[in-house]
Amino acid sequence: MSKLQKYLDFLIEKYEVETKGILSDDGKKVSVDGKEYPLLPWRNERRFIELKKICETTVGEISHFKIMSVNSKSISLSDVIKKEIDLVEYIGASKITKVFEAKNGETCSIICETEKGWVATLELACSLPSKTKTVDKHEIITDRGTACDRGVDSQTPLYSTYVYGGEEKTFTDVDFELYGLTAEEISVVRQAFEITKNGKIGEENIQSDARLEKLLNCIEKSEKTCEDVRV
Amino acid sequence: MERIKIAMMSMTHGHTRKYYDVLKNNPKLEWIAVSTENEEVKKIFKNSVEGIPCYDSDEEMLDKHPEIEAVVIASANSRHYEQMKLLAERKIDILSMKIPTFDMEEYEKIEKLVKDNGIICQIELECHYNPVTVRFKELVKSGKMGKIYSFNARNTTLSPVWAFPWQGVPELSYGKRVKIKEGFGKFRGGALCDHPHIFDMIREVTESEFDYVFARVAPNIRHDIEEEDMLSVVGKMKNGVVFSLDPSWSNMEERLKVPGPGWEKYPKRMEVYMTANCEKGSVVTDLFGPNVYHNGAPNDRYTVQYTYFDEWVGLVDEFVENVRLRRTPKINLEWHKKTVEVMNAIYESISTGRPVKL
Repeated sequence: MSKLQKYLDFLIEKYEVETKGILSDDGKKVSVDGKEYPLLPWRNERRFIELKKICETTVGEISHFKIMSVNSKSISLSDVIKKEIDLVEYIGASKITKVFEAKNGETCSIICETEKGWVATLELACSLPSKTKTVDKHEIITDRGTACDRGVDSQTPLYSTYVYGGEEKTFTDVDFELYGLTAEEISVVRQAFEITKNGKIGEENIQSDARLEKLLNCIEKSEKTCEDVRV
Repeated sequence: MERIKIAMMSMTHGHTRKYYDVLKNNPKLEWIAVSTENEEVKKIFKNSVEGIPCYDSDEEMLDKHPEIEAVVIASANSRHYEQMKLLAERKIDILSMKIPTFDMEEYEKIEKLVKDNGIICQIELECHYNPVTVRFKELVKSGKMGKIYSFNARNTTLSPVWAFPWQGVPELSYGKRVKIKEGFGKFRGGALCDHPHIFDMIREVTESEFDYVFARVAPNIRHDIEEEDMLSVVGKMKNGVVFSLDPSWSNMEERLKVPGPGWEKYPKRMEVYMTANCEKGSVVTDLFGPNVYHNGAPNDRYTVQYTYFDEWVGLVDEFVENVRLRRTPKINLEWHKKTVEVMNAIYESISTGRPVKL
């Protein structure tokens, strides 16, 4: 049994959920009562939950959603694009209507327009040595202030724990019940648990996943044709 | 395991609302009732939680619900003794807010009540159930960093006195009116009484007790409150570890009656940082970071929006186990007594201007 499955089983037992969720080996799907659901785990990451709330209640009309994400070479660029364009639509609550991509190897720059008229820019790369932590930033500029997952005067992530001396290390621990997992692993377990409890979320994921595949195709087409592609 | 029938009392403490979700969602608990101390907190509670019976007195609630097995005491420090006595005499287990009492004679009476009646009394020090604390303890206590030389920490917040008025009244917070020092014009009962966590955590992390403390009160940044809001503490543990600890209310606030968006003037409401400087290096932690940030409604000020605030999940899980297995809580009265004693010693050091040996 995988490490993540053990944590999922722990939550299912603790909260007395009657159905059983089974995670796929790659952690990209969960199976509940024989039905398989794709996971969009970033939607369960706390910083994105809070950014979504801020966009709904605290800042104003979005003008520009800026995303930077630099990842390890062991991560696929298309997985990064999929995650980030979903965050654009999910946090900003508006569908992408047009995409333009410029790509070079495992790096790309994308400009999107949404149905509400605001713009998203994505600067993405999978260029770091294997196992390097992702460096990313999500900044939403509105007509009533800016929301961001990085503090003012910083371009890179902060961590909750820094170990100095000898081999320097950093940790960000965000979940007491799931202590020991990374934030990304926690979001996989949390979303699999949500779907196990509530199939409606799984159904929404099926629809969203299909839409993301369509968006990925449009982005690929844009790169090939050097055109602004309507979705 | 049968569900524990739990209630809450008073609802005047700043942590009251932290229990709402966990009492509703923990499948091992059945939330029976609450008693509210005044109309104001009753209204706030009823606007926040539906379907839980609400009584105007503790006795009425307990009489109407003899099935109650455990109670979260969410009141002013000055009310803890009488409420603990009431519960102990009815053999009801207790989860108490941070300070049972600052009066050490009263503290001993509480210990006796708990022991004589065979009840569980757990003290709410929620920082133990923060995952960053777990990481910090794991790194430092494992010996990987070598011997620890110094421990520095701050637990600074905005002042809660506008939303939770008892915290601004020396008699209700500290238990009596005592001048903080001659010629200073403020009384005991402020920031120090609000922030025991770092004085508790250093004992566990260093596996030692306080040798001596020296403290100074700094000029208040809120001139119109009666208690201290800025202070600083240094000293040494019995194993030689030196420390610097800051429990101030140094993060300025809007004077809201009900906490909500816009409470903070300084961008972050609450900060807990702990650093251990050890033989092989240092561990630097932020228990409530990183977060997300905005400068939107209601005041268009740069603001930290927290991404983590779940300590009560682990804390209540432990309480449930303690009650069902009749297990002594990690933060029990005996352990916590030394933390309260050092807090009193800090007040003594401020008052005398001298280090206080423990």
